[in-house]
Amino acid sequence: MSTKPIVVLIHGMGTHTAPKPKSNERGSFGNECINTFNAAFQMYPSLENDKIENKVDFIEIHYNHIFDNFRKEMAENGQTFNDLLQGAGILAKIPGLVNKVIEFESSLGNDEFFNTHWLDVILYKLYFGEYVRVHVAEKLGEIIAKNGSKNIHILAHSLGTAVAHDTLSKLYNDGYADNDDIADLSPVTHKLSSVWQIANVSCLANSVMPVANPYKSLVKPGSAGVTDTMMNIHHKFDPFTLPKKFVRPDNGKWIPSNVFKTKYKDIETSAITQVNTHSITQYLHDPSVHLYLFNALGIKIPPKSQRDKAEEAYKSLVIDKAEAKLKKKLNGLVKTNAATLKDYVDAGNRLMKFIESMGV
Amino acid sequence: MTFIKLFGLLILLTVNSGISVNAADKCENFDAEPSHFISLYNDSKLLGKSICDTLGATVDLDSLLGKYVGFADNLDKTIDESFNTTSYYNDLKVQVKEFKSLSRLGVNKAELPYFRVTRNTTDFTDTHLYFSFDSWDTNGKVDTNSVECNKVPTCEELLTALEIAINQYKEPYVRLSAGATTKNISVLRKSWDRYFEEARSQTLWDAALTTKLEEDYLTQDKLVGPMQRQWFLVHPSLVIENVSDAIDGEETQQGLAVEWVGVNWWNKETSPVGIPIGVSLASIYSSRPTVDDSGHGVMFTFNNSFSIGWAKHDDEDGLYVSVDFLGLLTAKKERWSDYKDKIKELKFD
Repeated sequence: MSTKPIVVLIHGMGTHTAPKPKSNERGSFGNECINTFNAAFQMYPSLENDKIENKVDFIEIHYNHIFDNFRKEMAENGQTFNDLLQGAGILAKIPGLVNKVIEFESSLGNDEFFNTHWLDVILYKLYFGEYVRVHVAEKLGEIIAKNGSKNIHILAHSLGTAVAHDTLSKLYNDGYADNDDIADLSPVTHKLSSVWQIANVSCLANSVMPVANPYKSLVKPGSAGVTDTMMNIHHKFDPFTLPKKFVRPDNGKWIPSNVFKTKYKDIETSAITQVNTHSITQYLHDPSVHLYLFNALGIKIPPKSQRDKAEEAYKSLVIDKAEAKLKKKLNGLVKTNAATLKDYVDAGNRLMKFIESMGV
Repeated sequence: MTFIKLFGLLILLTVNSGISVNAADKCENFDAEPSHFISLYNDSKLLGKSICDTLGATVDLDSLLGKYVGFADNLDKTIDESFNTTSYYNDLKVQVKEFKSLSRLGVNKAELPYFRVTRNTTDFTDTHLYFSFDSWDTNGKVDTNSVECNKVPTCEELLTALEIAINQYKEPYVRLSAGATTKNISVLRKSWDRYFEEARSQTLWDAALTTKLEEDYLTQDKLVGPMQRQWFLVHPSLVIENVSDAIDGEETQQGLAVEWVGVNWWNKETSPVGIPIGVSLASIYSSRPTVDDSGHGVMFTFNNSFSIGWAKHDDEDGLYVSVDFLGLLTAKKERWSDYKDKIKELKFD
């Protein structure tokens, strides 16, 4: 049982190496987060001699290997068929549609961007997503069983925001009882401390085959939600967060106004210090993000003079003309509530072109 | 006979006592003693153990009412004794009044609030500490920069100690009940593992159709195990076909079967016939000079592994069976075994 706050990290799409808790090895997402927090500590004299691991325990919930496994299995099956059919000399006799299915399956083994990123999103929206949610819920349940829920903070990024939202939405239940077989927790008794949705795509991910509407689910702060506080963090020029973005007005409908003002924070960042504006390190390195996270974790906030200097230093990292170039690339991107997963792919392609144009 | 009965009874008693000792240990899973409010902390632990011991049982309103109300009254008394000269005494009393009201409704294990002491999440320049029971949305607060908060013990030290003292009334229950829930989730995860080990392999298109047709089941507002049916769309299989009317030497040939649309009950426990069974509308493609290359008919799959089909090639009938499925299946099981090893590596100790 930890006496420190616990941050549960849930990664996004793409390739991430798995943590190995038994040999005390972090996964790649954990390393990215922790290294960036420690780089952020270096921005403040009052924190520079410390390490975030001394103040917080990090636990990664990793699901990338599940998608990788499905992808490889489909690719191997497709490849086996392709080889056997060519050997039997009947490829030419089968309808083109069937050929395309076999070719597509066998191509899934290639480590192309589509297979390692977009396919994660597609697989998550298929029934494999429920397996991922069950896996994540099981790991989260183990963490709460060991530590209680009061000091648990969830930090999710990109596709991980949809995974976190959907899992919590299914795991927590207003009708919780401990004498039934339903695998659930109570939003009051097992309430979490905070949920950090960084580059939140939960609305977009729920636009097809919806698991739960993020505007109506229990994943919200306050007495009626699964968490005491909640942060929604997005970059003004992160194209993934633009179509169907998570936006909540303070009108008393989602949560009471006093809860909205004290327990919910929408943070929009705009400084471009890395060409990949979707990167978790871009988000966490920004003082306008990490200071709120430090505050929620009970880390003493540096005095104003240090914060001002850190802000100035961070601004000096802004890449020249990147904003204007990226704005141009994003021109015409569907940003409204009518956006679909196709617009999400469009957003990603535009970011990739921008990154290429910057010579990275 | 008497000896065997006695031996059986002894084993039963040993097993049962083992379980109860284990459960009791887990209901002693408290946070370390705070630096203040020890009496309240001990009272909180007593209630905490009693609530935790009811895990899995229906609690009638009266059974723990006295302990719950007594603890809330003790909390009220502690606030009166320790905070009555502070500026935030009235704010604390408002919180306690809410908790006392809640306690008088009896123990509801779905509504055991934490007492939380937090900073302002939305404004890190705010020097106040906020405190509340998190089952309602009304906070109390105190400025940590005030004179009273800089005396020893500080407001933060006192409120943090109070937080620890109060929350023991629910802490062991939270942990033990989350453990019980995790066991239920593990059952679901194992059923998914079984699905991926035993059910038929699917292409991405099969998976998409299955997801669409089983959407109502999969999108229930609770975690679920695998669907009972798999659906197939343009699914290819390699088969051996026999067309008895073909010319000599060409009766038996390798071919490709395509299930245009099909369904498979993969789980024998929920299959309509007691064994895993599937049926598909299928075509077969093979190469014989005297028989039409394509034939159309139906295909049945048994036990998720063996398929048999019939196809009509113009006027000739063809019968076919799936081939090399065993090899594919073995490879699949090896992969899942490898995957499960990875899952074990990820387990949090």
